[in-house]
Amino acid sequence: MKRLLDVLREDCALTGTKEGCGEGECGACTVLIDGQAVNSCLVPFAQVAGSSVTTIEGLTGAEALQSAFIREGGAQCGICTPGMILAAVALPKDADLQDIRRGLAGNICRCTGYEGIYRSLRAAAIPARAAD
Amino acid sequence: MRTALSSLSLLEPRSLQEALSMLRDAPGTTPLAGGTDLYVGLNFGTVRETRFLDLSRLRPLREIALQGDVLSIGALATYTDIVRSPLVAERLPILASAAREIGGVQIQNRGTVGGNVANASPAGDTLPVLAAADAVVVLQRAGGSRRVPFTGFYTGYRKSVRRADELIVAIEVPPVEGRQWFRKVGTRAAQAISKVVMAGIRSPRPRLALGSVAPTVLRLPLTEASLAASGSIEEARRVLAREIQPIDDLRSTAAYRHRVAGNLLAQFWSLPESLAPLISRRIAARLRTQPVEDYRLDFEDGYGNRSDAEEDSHAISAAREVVTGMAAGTLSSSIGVRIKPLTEELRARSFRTLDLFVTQMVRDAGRLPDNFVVTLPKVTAPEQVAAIAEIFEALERGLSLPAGALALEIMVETPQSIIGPAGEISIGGLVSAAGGRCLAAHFGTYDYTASLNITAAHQHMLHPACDFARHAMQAALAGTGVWISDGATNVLPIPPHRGEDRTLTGREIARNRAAVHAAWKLHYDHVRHSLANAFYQGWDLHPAQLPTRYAALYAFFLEGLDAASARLTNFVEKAGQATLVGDVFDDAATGQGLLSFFLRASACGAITEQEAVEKSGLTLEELRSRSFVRILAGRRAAAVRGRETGNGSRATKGSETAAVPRGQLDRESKD
Amino acid sequence: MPAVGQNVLRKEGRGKVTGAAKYVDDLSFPGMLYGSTIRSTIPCGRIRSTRPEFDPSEWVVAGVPDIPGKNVIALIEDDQPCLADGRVRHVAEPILLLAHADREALAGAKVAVDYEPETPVYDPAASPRVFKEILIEKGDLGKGFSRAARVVEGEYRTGHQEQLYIECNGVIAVPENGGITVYGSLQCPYYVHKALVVLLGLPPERVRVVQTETGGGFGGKEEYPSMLAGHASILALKAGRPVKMVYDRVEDMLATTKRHPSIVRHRTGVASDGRIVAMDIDVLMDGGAYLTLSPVVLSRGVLHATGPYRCDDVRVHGRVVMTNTPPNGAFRGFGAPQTLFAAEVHMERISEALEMDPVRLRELNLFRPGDTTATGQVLGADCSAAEVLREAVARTGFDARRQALSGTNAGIGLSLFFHGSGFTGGGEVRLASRASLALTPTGARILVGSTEIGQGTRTIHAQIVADALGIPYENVEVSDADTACVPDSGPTVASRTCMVVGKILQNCALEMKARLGSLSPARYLELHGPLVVTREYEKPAELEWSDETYRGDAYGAYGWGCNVAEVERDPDTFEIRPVRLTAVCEIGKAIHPTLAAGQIEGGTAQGIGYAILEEVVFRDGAMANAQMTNYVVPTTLDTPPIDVVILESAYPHGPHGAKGIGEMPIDGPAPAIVNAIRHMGVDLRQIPATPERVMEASCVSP
Repeated sequence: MKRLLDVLREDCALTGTKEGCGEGECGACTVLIDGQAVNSCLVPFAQVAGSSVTTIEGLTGAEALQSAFIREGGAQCGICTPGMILAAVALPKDADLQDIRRGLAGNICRCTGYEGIYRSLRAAAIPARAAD
Repeated sequence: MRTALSSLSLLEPRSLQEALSMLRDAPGTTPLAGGTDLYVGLNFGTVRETRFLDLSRLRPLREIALQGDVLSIGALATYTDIVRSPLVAERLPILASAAREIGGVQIQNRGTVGGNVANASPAGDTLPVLAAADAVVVLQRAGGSRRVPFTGFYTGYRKSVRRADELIVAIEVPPVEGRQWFRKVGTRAAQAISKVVMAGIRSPRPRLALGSVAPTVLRLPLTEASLAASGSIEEARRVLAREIQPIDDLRSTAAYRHRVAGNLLAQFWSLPESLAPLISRRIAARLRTQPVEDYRLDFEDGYGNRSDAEEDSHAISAAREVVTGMAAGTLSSSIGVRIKPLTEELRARSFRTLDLFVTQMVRDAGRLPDNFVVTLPKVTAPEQVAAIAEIFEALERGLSLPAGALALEIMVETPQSIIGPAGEISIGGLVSAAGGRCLAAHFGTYDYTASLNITAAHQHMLHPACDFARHAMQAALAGTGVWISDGATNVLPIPPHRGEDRTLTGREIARNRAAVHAAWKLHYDHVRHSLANAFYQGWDLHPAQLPTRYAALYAFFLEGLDAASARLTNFVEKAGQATLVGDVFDDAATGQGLLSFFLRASACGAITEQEAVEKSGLTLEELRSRSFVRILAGRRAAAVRGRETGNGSRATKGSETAAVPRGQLDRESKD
Repeated sequence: MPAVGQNVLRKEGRGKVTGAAKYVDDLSFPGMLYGSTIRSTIPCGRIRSTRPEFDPSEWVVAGVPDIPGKNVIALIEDDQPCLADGRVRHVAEPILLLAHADREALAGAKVAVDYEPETPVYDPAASPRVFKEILIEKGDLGKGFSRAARVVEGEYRTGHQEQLYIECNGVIAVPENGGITVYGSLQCPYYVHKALVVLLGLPPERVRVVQTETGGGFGGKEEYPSMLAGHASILALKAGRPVKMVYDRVEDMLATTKRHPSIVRHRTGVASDGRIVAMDIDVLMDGGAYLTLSPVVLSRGVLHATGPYRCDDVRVHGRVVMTNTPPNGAFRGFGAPQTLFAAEVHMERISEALEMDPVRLRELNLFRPGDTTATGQVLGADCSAAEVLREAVARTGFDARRQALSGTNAGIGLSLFFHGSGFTGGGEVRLASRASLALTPTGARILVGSTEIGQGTRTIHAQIVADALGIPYENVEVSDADTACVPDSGPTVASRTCMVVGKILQNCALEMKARLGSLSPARYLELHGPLVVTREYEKPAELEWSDETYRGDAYGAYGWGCNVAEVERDPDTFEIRPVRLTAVCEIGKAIHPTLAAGQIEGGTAQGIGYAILEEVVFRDGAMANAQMTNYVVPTTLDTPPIDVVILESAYPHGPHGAKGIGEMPIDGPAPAIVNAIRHMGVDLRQIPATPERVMEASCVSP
């Protein structure tokens, strides 16, 4: 019955996944299970057997987004940032601002008013589109 | 985390059978699906159970499929599964709407519909949808299963009929007919717990369910019945207020929940947004071409008592105006004059005005305008009607008009015109005293309610006393060919602040808009009430009332169009079948009623004649015959000819699919 | 290229986006125990006895007798005990401390506490104890009112607000070197240091406080960490082992500080042309059970109570009083959001009473350079009230929008506000903050007690130092906020970190540059050995302030702001949805424009939450909605687009002209939103403007 969150943080020493509330409200503990964003504070560890779990430490291919979070003010205190980045990675590829707002509604940020986060996503998307 | 998680045990069955056996053998084991509720409780230390059953390996329970015409949603379907399911989108789109508003994406990816049902929270967002959709909960236990109607599933706050050895395996939803509606009012725009959540299905049999207003999700049979019966939203709100039991809690207040539940009901029952642009276009077209159907020149209450000389001159000048209109062809299709009542004091004045007006008109134009009528107010006795009929005769003779050229309308606005001295319904007697000249009876709200000693604050169109009078008129005049017409709304959509000499301030503009909108809303509600009671005519006092008159009229017909269309098509086919095989078909009145719906809708401009043909499934010829019996006869003849040539299958096929609402029929035919 | 004014790469960003940054709960020490707190469940009464319902032999249990020094949290007045000594004054007051090696065991450890309850006080108006009373008087109030053509009166109320940093309060206390080292999520290491020295009876050098990466503060980690650090230290010293205490969300909300609720009454004399001729303002704040920082919160509250408006005859009377609720404390804005809410909604009501355009009324009365404030401060050339108002009105097309929205279910409103940067004149002198700069072979290392809590302290300090030394930004390092190696730069609060501490650092750098002469840093070190320059706060000569009379220059500088809010009201549910919020702020100089915008955007979003969503529900003296499910803050979908405009009007004594910025953005949204609601004809005078309140106010509209 152990939470995925605790296994990650204590057993795996992957402390990039944060606990903000323990009640599935803040999204700071967001990880990806088979590519889908979940709150790891509400996931029984037993249920992830055979699944792929991605934490901020194991995230690959999001370098542009991560850099943008630093440059564009997407991260301030940083406690919501790993969860926010993982939720952003799980957004549909063609997400517009309203999709982004809906997709990130499960991640509370108390520092930025979300504007810096939108800027970060926009900034990261531009080179990605150019490369397409 | 306020629970020692390592002290809890988790059973991990690999199949449904294994899970059911575990539930049977270990009573008190709590099923665990997505964990989005359970782990919140564990976090707060409020979960007492210590043994859990992990359902996550029971993959088949995640399926969403059609079984016959029933939509079966596996208990483990996540909210995301529901949002993405084409079947849910087609069958029960409001379930997807509810799922989309639960938590954030992270919760939607984990939470399950079975969990939402099992958790039994009064605020569960999918629950009102399932309740309104007449869903069935499928419970399985080792060696058996049962299906429980959703409305009987909950027995109290967080209590259900599920026994400890049973598992919720699926939710079944039968086909839903009607327009689906869902609205969640939460504590914020996303990630919110509901303060009020409502699901509704709009059809001739409306269905409605509410969450967060009682210890469990509530189906609202009384409110549904009220909506179905009266169509009056105010009455339905009153019923709703008695049917829910909201409380003050951390998130809201009972007063708020009461108010908002009523407002949501009104929103649900109001104009569907999809119809708004169409209605708006048709109102504009109607206002451009024929804004007024019928017009009265008033010499009674709206005019008042003035000197004889003044009223004389006005009677003559009014007649001249009408003659000018006749010549220019600008008159409404009906026109008339309302004279003063035939009381002791006013009788002479009343006759004199009538005489001057009619005489002047006939002298100048040589004839009466088309569809000319005289309105007699405040009728209290048949003698008054007989007296005016005599005057009519005299005028016709004097002016060499054809006998019977002058027609009469009476106003029913005194208690005596409803109930006579011996306790009998007096309207019939009033009408027959006119000797065939009486074309219509009009209800007058304010005189009527005033004579019943109803205080001014309560003298309005929706007062139950008015309904009594209307019903009496309706029943007494049914089948006589005498039209009935409803009264007027006397709160006018006129802005209180005028800016003749200066620009209005922002607050004045705000007050103006508020006043006009409120008066429009009131008028709209009154007209809808009239229409629900089959008073298809009504009076307005001010041109600014016309937009809401037509809005109510068109919305009434357009909202009902799909349902009437399906019913009439079905009915014509069934009736055709019955007559074809020689069964007795004795419900022609219902058929005529459905036909009249289309005739009235097209007559008032809510739909075009072409649309009436398409939606009724009739030919133009059939529609114009205006008679259901004649249509049936024609169809029977055609069917007999068809059978003789071996071509009778089309009607049969139609009858099989006609029960499905039109929208779905269209979609299926494209597949 | 100078670094100041550029969006240089922030210093501590990398670890935050890769998960490498270590917050306190991410740290672990060998042999570490987990601590927890047994708290009172009643608001007021005596403790008869405590009885652990577990086998105490497996536990470390600490109570008042285990406190080595004085049982107080040393701050302004030493009235708050670290552990309740025989009586409790609020729910969640700490009584007993427990520690265990198994974190899960804490969940089940119950202690029976036997109380003798007393009658609690919840209504501040009925409080028997005034923590602090302040009177500001200017001119002759009676004379002022005698010139008034109209008098407008009103009462305005604001509720508690929870900081809701996403990282809860937490510390680890490690007994070492005959003393204690505390690692923690905190804003003010030297506050904690001072408190621990008193509580533990240790010499200052035996107490070390190290700030770990801090997941948001907003004032909520200004004074409370002293309490938590005290608890962990008591347990750690008793156990002889490191003790970690990290609150869960429920405990953090139940026990830690919130924004002070307020009741503010205005009585204003207005001349027939709209000029304000008399202001009589009464401010009442609820301090909670102990004094903590309440006097200072009240001070900032009354100093902003007039709003940015000139008036010759003014009286502001303020009180902060005791109630039997957990102590209220620092939260971004620190008293000013409460009084500015009242001032700006009252201003709107004056414009309604006079049927006068709200912009015109403000233009007529706003502070201009050379005007004097209620305390007699003559405003300098950087006073920008007129500029921010003009910019906001022009940018939003305010007049046309207001006309267009009249009579609809949407409204537009504005608020004009100002915010004093730093402590009051006297406060900064008393703090006597110090900052140091150490020469490194390639540049310099900053040594300050100011903390990075997300706002960009390290980055902007490095920018200022780089430009003053004339070296690249990358060559400036910033030391951790560790009391073992940085001086006391004063608390990281009050919008002072850039303007005040930044200025001291700039002075350090200028002195270092002079010492270096033409030598490179490496060469200097070779020749002269290590160089550390330390400077102290220098009061600008012209600033004069008296705490006794409340006369003089209350703050060195003010930032100026104007917000315009456009909102919609759902006619069926009475929900208020902000559509757009325009925030114009004049801040002297944006050292780092992106970080500055981030402060404004974030503060504005918190202000929006304060305005419409965030309500602490108290039942029997306890926060009843102490979960994130039930205390709701804005999500992405609750936060409208925020349009930020930064204006710059230099303050001569700030680094590059910079003034404070951190707090001001939260002053404006609540009154702007409420004024937008008022534009719809709803007479609302209280926040949060929940749908329930909007419904009530909508139903009794004039």
